[in-house]
Amino acid sequence: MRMTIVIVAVATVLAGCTALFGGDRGAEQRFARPGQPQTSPSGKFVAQADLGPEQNGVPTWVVVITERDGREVFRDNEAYSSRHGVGITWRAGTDELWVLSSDVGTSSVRPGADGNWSKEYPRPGHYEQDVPAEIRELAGR
Amino acid sequence: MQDNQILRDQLRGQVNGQAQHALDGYLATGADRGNFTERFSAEIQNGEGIVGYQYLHGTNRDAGDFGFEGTTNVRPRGDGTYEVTVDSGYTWNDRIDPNPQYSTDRWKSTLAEVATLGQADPYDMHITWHAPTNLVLDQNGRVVIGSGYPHD
Repeated sequence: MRMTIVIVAVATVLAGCTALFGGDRGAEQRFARPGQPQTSPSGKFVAQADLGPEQNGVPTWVVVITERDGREVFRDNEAYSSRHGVGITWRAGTDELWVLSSDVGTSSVRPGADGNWSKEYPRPGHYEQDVPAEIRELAGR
Repeated sequence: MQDNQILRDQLRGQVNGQAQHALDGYLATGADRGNFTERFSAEIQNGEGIVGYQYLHGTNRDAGDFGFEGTTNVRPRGDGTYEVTVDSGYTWNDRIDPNPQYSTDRWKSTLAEVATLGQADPYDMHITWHAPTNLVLDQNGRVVIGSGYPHD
């Protein structure tokens, strides 16, 4: 019995270390980053992170969305600090891109009725209502 | 925060704009007092150092962005110019949360949450300061003299 407890305890610690230091690779794979574009759920669009202008030595990322043939449909006018971290990910099951910046906050990019893509921010004081649970969880909230 | 020159440079335009708006109102209606509430994004220097300014870098919209509110008072001077006092409150709103890009950050956040019995949540910080600004504007609304934060 004591041996079983020890084995379970060791396995738990090892699993914890793997999670802490090895990372959850599956979750990380969903984020677009330079050189790692992500295709939208419909397969029609691709999100990518272009390198923007450095800020005092800190690389920045710019969010770009293209059609599969490379035609650009959206380019962000904001460059995100990579030091502070930015997660760029499609929401599951819909062509809606979410940008989670630890520096400047959360925003989403989606096409309007006219087909043009634009960026929106949660309404002040309505973060819980405007940001889907799936995205809030990624943001650690 | 008041020492940061990059921020002062951004706020100078905001304060001047409020003074000009107050003068426009005074010339149109004669009302010498007004108030304002504004929200916008503000940014100070970035960098890889363990430096407070670089650590903050930008206001966070989820936490309220940059808050700028206060009152204005317009007084005509004898020489055809106007003295406008802008008594302002400034608030830097930011959020400290795990980096979404790294699952290791999220795991550490979860572990901290467990270890502290739910006390290790992301948190917001609000840094507020108050300062008056005295401006002299000509009759066209051009700022000819500015003193006090963020001008000095």
